[in-house]
Amino acid sequence: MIKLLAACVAVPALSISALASAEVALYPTGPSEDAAFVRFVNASAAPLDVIAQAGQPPMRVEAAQPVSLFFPVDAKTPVKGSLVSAEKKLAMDLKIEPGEFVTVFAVPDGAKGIKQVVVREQPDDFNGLKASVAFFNVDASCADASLRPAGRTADLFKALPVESQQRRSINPVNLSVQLVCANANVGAPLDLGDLKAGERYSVLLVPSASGPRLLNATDTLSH
Amino acid sequence: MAVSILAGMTILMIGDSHLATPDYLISTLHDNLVAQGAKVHTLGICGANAGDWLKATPGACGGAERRGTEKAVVLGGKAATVPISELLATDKPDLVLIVMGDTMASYTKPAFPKAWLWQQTTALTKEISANGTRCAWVGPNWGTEGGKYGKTFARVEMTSKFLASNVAPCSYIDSLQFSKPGQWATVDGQHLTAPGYKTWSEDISKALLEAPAVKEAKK
Repeated sequence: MIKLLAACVAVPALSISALASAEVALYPTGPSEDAAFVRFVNASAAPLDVIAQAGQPPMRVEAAQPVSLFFPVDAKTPVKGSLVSAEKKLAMDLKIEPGEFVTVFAVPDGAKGIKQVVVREQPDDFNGLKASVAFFNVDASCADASLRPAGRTADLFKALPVESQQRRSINPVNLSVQLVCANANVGAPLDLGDLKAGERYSVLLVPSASGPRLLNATDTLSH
Repeated sequence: MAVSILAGMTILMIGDSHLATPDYLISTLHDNLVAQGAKVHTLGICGANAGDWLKATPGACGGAERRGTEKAVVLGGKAATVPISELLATDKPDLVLIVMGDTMASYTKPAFPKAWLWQQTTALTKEISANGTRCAWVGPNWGTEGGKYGKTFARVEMTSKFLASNVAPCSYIDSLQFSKPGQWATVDGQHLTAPGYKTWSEDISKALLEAPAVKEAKK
């Protein structure tokens, strides 16, 4: 999978020429199009295998470490493959736009095994002086899904629609968040620790057998 | 004359074409830093962007290297970046000075590649800061509009603003503050004439003395 994704990475076309002392040869001043990324979240109880092509070794996303890195992809080429969990298989065929960060969730779906949910983000808030926290919601059982700083009454994110995400830039402070469904606290606060300036974080609300569950991850790129 | 805060400091300077021709910043800025008592190693690879410094990457159009008071060596077709991890290990610099911006502005494309720029800049600054090394990043100057690279004042301003808010923990040196748009003559929209490089070097040097990265590295 990683091999396939790496092969899809956009490579800028370069004009090769010897250096002239009087005039610099023409070179590209950027990529042909913006970068794009995809990651996978395993919200099921079984391991999730992401298979790019039949015969290739899968990329495994364990239930205990459920959020993968963001992998760079070529926005010109659809990301195709399949998601396999406990012998249930789902086809994947994604067109990812330049500048997009796409999160593919495998969430439990009763007797069907897993369901694929895709949430897209086109961030515009890159800032090395702030921490950036996103809230993803793929749990329809949590009404008016909101996140509050633990012990506070003000919402960090309010009534986030299912299968969507929102992001906020905040000061790099120590942060614990409390999930709120239908205006009532659900579960224990999730400790995000000391947020770092320039880092991007995701809090992901997923369904589980025991009710709404929060996952957290740093949005780390695979190099 | 007072002793410069840069005296005794080991500086690694890396960047793009502005450092890759012997009479550009690899001459004027390098000389300026050496004259202040710094031990300077400059490596300029034409066309290089920030991510190219994570692994050895051939230059798009040559390069040059210079150490201390030696003359700059033109690298020609063999020019390639050296991974920043190797440079940090061998040079053990007190300060990394990065001169880059024009190679990442996408002047001829309507869309500004924010995600790519973020990927590029953070990959490099994280590697430097993980090593515990201070750094300062010199952003692009105004240049002149047009030319073969299609530079525009609007896009260079956008690029500079992006870098200013995304190169932390490196200090940012905003070259747009040094002149008015189009004030410094260029040969092709991007590369300055000799007086321009001299002025740019002097302005960078002054700004560097006030940069938090330099003051902290000296503590």
